[in-house]
Amino acid sequence: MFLTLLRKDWRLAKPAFVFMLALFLAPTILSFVMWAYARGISQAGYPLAGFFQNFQTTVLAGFAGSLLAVPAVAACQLGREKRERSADFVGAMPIPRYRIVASKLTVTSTIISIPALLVTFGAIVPWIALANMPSLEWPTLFWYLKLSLYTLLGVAGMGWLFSCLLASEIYATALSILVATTIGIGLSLAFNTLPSLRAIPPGLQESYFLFIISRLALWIGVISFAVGTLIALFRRTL
Amino acid sequence: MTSTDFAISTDLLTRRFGKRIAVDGISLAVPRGAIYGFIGLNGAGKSTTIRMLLGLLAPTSGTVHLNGINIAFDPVRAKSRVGYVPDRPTAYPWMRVQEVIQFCEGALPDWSPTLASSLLKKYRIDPRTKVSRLSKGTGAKLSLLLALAHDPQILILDEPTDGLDPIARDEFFEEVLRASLDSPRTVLISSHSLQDIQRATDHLGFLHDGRLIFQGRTDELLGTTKRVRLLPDSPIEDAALRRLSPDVSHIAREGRAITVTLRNFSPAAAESLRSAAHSPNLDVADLSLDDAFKDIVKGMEAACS
Repeated sequence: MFLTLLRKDWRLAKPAFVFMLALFLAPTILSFVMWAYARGISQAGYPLAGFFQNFQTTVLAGFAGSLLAVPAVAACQLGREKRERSADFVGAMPIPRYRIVASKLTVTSTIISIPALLVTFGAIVPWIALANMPSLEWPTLFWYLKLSLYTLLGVAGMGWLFSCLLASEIYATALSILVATTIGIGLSLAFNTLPSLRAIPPGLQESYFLFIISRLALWIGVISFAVGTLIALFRRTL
Repeated sequence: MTSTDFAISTDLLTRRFGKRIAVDGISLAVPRGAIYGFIGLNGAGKSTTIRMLLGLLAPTSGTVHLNGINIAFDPVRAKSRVGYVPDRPTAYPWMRVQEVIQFCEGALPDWSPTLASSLLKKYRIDPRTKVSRLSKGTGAKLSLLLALAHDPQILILDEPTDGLDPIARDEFFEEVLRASLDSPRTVLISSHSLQDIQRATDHLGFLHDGRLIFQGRTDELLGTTKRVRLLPDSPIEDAALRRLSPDVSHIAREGRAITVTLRNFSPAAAESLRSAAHSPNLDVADLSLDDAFKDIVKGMEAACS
């Protein structure tokens, strides 16, 4: 029964997953095409190193873009079922509520961890491809993984929670993006305007910003997933 | 009688949405094997009640028992032998019919693939068609197939023929009747089409403004609810007629003629009306379910106003 639910929930999330993957890969593919084109017209020749030197930037740009689709992955699990009324179809069946919710959580967590793994992969590739890259240390690698996972958790958590409250995955996604953007811009403004934050040396400001935003995302994610899951478990309909 | 004596029973089931009371303390009692027509105007609370019966909506107060099992305490066991046909297909619209059937096969332990494929052939549904592309009639048949293929003891239909043309509606009702004869099961059906309800059901429940205003056997209702036509010599007020008998349900006037709908009809009650109205004649007529329902509801509204 659980496998059947997993298959169905995977198919529910598939359009959002494809969109997320497309947004993630677009900058890298574009960068590769541009490199290949430049290589074709250049007389001097463009070694592959030229592409890999920008690889981390394109991967991070792709990650930032994919964050737009991540709330949709979580939101379609509950919001789409409500909008299409299939929540009634599955709700009228003799299936324990915890299994329905567990399947949705499994699919969501698996899909949203993919961009984090790709970011980590993006950090390793240039290091392998280019012999002259500074050595990559394990803490740096985990920092990439941790930061991306926390951000994904925060954004997806909002999608999950809002889809519990709203009857459409589209509204839930839009609200998640709005809230995430507001938090990001608000924090950025705070760093530029609050005297205590402006007093931080410029070199450290970025690290502080990333630290605060990642912790904020982590807590928002954990709380949103917990509250959303409780609502989905104890409310009769999804 | 306890909840275990009925296939479906509710005890003072109530649902509020803010200040509005959608369902007001109804106590349904659907006997095992009955075909129960659940009738009410739009917004009477039929769908809200059905959603509570299926555990899709929590009641504000009251309890629901399906086959004697309290749905709040053991929803999985209570729903295990229940089939649900909604007003329009709620199965995943992006799935093909075959995929929905496969999903149900994996999700429902009592699912019968043999029964499902025979119903698929019987209803002439193309398994490769997407659910969203099915016509209304075929969509309703698919919902019936999905509800029947795990051989439920209770079948709950919520205005399943809404929006269907008369031929598709007839076909659908025939299938429901056949399904209730093929295997002993209790059917609760809500519908606007009272002709179909009269044809198909043996028990009725009238819901009005969230309250159950009648519950009983169809033949009992139609046998004891009559229209009495009077031609009074002198004018008589509605209130005076109502005072004569608590069973006066509805009064209609057409020129000099007065038509009184009597619940629990008895010749004595009709005679007392005739003599009070000084009417030389007294015509007694049977009512269709449609008329009985309308008169009872109008009578309720008149009594409330």
